[in-house]
Amino acid sequence: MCTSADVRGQQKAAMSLQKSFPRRQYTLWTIVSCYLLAISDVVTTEERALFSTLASRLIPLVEPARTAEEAVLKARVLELLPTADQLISFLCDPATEKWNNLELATMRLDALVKSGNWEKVFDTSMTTLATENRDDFESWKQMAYAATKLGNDERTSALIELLEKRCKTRNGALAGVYYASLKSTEATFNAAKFYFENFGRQQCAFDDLKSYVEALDAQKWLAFVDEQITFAKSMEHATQNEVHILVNARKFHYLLDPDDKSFVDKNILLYNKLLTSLAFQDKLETDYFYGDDLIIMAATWLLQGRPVSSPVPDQDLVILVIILLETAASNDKHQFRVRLWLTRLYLYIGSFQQALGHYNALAIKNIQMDVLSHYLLSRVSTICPTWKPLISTRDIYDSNAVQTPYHIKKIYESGAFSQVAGCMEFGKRLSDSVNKGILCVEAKRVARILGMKMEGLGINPILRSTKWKENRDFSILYGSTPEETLENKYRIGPIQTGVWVNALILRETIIDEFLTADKRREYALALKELLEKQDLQSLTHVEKWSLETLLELSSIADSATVDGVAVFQTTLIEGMEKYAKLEETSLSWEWFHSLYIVVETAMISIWSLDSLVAIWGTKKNGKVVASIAACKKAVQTVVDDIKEDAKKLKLRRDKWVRDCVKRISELDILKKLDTSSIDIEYLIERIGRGQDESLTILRNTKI
Amino acid sequence: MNIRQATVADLPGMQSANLTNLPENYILRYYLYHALTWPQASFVATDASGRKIVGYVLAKMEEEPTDGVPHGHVTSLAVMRTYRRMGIAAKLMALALRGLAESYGAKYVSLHVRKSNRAALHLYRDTLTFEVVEIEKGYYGDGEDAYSMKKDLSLLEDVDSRTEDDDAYLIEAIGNLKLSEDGRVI
Repeated sequence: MCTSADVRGQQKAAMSLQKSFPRRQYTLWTIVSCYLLAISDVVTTEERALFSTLASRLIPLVEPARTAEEAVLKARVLELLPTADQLISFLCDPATEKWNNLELATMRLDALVKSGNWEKVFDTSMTTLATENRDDFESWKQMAYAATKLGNDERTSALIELLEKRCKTRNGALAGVYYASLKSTEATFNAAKFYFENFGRQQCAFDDLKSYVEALDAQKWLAFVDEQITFAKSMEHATQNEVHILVNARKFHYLLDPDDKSFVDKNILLYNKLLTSLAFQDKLETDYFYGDDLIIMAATWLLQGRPVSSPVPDQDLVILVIILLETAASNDKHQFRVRLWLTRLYLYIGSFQQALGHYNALAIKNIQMDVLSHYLLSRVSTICPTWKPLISTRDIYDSNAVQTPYHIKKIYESGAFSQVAGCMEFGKRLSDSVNKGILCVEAKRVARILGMKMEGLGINPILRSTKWKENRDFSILYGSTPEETLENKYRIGPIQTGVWVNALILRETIIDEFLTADKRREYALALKELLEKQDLQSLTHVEKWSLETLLELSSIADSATVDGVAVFQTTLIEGMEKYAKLEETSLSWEWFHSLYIVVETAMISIWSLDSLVAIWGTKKNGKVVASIAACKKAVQTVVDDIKEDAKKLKLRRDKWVRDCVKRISELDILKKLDTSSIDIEYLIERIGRGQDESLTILRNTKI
Repeated sequence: MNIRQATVADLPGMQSANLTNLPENYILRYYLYHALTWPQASFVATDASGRKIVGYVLAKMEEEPTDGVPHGHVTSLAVMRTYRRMGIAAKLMALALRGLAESYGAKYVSLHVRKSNRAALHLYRDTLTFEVVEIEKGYYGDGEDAYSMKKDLSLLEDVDSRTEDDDAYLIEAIGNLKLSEDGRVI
């Protein structure tokens, strides 16, 4: 039952064992499995209540708890009951507190906060912070909030006394800021000031204060942080602490002064000077330099289209930003965020190999692939079809299918009950991961375009689902300056959701079953319904066109007529010519994406029409067959034209590189940056080469 | 920041901390193995919002101790760069050592640290009073040597003689960590 993640089965098996062999262990298993059922999505509301009641009724049979894990299990079961009284009573019982278990302590505070028992929240938090000396920010926060809610002089005084006593700890100082934010803007300013004076040298200072200072007078705050920037010797000899304060101050400028035209220039000049600083020279090989954030800020400022001292033409913007980031990356090999940005931006301009280089340098492995591989592999089949990164990423899901059942069994055996729900959820999140669905679809398309046999890639069929789980991280790029608008603007198309996956699965199934009439019709109907009823925001225009074209093909398979084929030919060619326009000056992922989908659609169309003619044999009207032949020829002509244009573009590459280098070198912003660590011409040439590789693959596709 | 017990749900976040901070990248199975077998010995630190994992410690008991003495091993410790130099690593270690001693009866704990990792060496040797037992040549995958270090945990066993100020006692008992009057780790 663990192997198949069948929670109902687990519960039945555990109950049988418990009844037949009333051992303590089996009773615990029964409680665990009832709990898992109660929190799962496979039960009805009535069953949920039933199983949670059953679990709570079994608890007395295994009391007293022999381990903290059993105590946590009891708390989790009590959490399911309609009222929180029993849970709070149990969590606040001295016998429970004696376990000294952090999980129970966290649950205790959460339960008290939810119950609105602010006196108890205050007292519990005070015990944690003052008596147990456990420096927990959540306790600070809830205590401050409780004191404000209660408005009780004695408790307020106790809070203030503790805040003053602990003001030199980071949590204490930050709690002071939080408490002040509940009072007044002036109090917040003073508390934030105190925090920055004491902790401005910490890299986390900006993150900690960000949400509070947004409510303050921006100019007043910026004037204050600028005063904190000091250098014992000089900026060129800055220590790590001095660099941290400087960068944190610049981050506040980024946040609060979005109209400063000199922001990028200043950041670049500061970065140049800091390259000789002690902070940069003395850093460990495996460390990264906080001053890089100056370049990241300059880069994101430019990408956001904020004011600059000298304008940058749109066509050169992304390449300029790439140069900035490559400078930072070349000076600082272990820079995670710079490399992730470069991965995204190279892919954005269709230079996959450069994106791959930086992505590989990040050494993203294992479960992180589920979360982050979309930075490289979004729509990869239509930018630069490549199968190795797809397959290695896809492997983690196969691995999970084997490992999770093993771990669930281990939990039952070892009694690590606090982990069981998380483990089940974790397994489900991976097996239903939307990224997994995307990768399987992409792998099939890559195999088709590259002319590879699917069997050799070991890709298992994947089914549609209504329960795709979203595990991808879309905000990791932004670090201390999150900007959702940037994510939307520089993503590789709309986020591919479960609808996208289901639509493409249907497409692949229709292609696979094209010659089996019943199945083809069934899936074509399902796809038609999806296109009509579902939210299609996750599809690009050309993707929608490709799906609609397939539906038309399916109609032809059902009832081919001369006119029908002629209409299909016209709409297909129109669509191909519309989406495969060559715009040399604005080569981007979108252009490659459209080209590949057009060519792939042509491939599928020709293959489908050929297959139909083959199975019809002599049964079909000669005129229909002739019209199909004409359609194929017309499609082939368009594809040949596309390939020819791609070839011409490749032959003009040298000129493109020269023109690009000339334009970029004349940008004022770039003249300010110390680019001695990189070769700009070589970098631009590599971008071109990356794009050419994609064009070469396209030209080598066989229709 | 907050510190709490590591859960399976933390694993993606813990991998982020690991991949950006340490060259050793353990396979997923190994993380799960720790969290599920010795849940009281692994902890995470989160940022103020409680959502982002900013540090973690993974510890375990040696399953077949060669010397016959039950002892623990710290497999991995990492704190994200943005959150360093605030005593988070020391606090994570203090909790892990306590968990190993109290929940699993560890008599001592061992760990390995890269010879070049000055910050970690300072933490273990000077702050937490681990002693260097030997240098293991080529211990790490890239060929770097490791200091094998060890700390006696017998002081943590005596639960009954603890004062009310449990954590303060523990932190002081674990090593040279001292608490100032205002609660800071000195």
